[in-house]
Amino acid sequence: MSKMYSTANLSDKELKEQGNRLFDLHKYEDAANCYTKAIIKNPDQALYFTNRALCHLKLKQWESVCKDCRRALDIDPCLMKGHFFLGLALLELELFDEAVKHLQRAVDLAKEQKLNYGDDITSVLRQARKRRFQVREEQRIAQDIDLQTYLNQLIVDDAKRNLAALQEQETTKDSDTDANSTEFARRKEEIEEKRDTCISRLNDLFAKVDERRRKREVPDYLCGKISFEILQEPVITPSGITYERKDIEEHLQRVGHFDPVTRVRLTQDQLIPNLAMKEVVDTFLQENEWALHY
Amino acid sequence: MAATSPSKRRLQKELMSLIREPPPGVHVDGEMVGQNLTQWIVYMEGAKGTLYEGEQFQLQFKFSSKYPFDSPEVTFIGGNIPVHPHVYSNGHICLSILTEDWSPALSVQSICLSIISMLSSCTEKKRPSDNTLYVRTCNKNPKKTKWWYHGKKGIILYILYILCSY
Repeated sequence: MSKMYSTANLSDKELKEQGNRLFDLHKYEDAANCYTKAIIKNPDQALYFTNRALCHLKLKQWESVCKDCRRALDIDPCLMKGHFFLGLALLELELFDEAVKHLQRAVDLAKEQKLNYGDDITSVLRQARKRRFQVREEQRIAQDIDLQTYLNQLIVDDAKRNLAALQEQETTKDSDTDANSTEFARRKEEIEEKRDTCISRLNDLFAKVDERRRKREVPDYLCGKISFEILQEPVITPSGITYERKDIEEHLQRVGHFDPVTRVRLTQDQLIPNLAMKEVVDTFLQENEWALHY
Repeated sequence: MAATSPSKRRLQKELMSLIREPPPGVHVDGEMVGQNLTQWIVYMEGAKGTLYEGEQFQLQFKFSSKYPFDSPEVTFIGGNIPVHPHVYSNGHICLSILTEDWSPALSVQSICLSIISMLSSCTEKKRPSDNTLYVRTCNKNPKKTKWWYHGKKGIILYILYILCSY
């Protein structure tokens, strides 16, 4: 009697390989099942979890991605893919703080382990930070509007109370002379005037905050001399001018072999990463998340 | 607000800075340009103390999608084309930074400054010596002209650049 073919007879390694083949064929559910079987046979292999997480990622099952990544990271906390996939899923779940944390860790690990994903993860990280900023900014604006409305109401109520008190005083007074009534009119006017100035000053103040929000600008010295946009991968030329790498490379290919600012001869191999500038830009972005773009 | 291509984004930034802090005697109609970022009209006044004092000029800028790697096409338009040894009567300008000396680090603002300084350094108002021939035979696009820049001597020769005769 011949043995029936069954995946039950396969080793965890073989199951993983079968999963990989199915993944390449875009059969993500079947692939995930293979990894599940591999995990049952050998639950200490972090790779099986990250592979299954990637299947879940493709199937948009964000919660399952998180679960698998966390288990993989329990086994090996330095797993770049674990942090990366977890970050992606958390971003989809709109848990921005945690997403940023794991994506940042993934970027650092990719750098340490010299893995080639660097740019992809960096751009996802930017996206996550930008979306986190947008959400927070909307919250801040909504809170500011609430506060402004509340303070306006307080001023109006306070004036009303003062006017009522004044009226009370007036009616309890027994003598009704001309001097009294002009004094009453003067004090009433005073209260109303104070109310109006307070309201207009308060609203001016909020308008200024709003204006500052709208007029945000990246300083020129953080921008590339070609795109006029904030530098992402700054490189410096022998003339000491800093450019965005992809822009200066395009210039060298299309326009000519010279430094665009100084016109000194320049070739691609002379471009050197400007790490100090990169640090300055990163610090600026950390403090001014509105400037993030992708 | 978010312009899509890098070239549009850069033009948007240049427009904002030109509206906010234009060089003296220069201004741009932001509303008109805002509708079509690839074609600008810039108004320019002749500088004080020069032969062009009191005159008004209009410059037209046309940008391709490859800007700033590709230089803009810049010509004088309108009723008053400055009479200058490097400006043809059809508005074409013989200025090296507009073609072979173009660099993507230049901008609308730096082109305006170059043209102002070109006008300001003029000592005699006259047309280029080959004006009649050039205006009759040139391509509509000045960038298709193969210029020889003999700026200092004031002699400009140009070779007819016969591209394709469709």
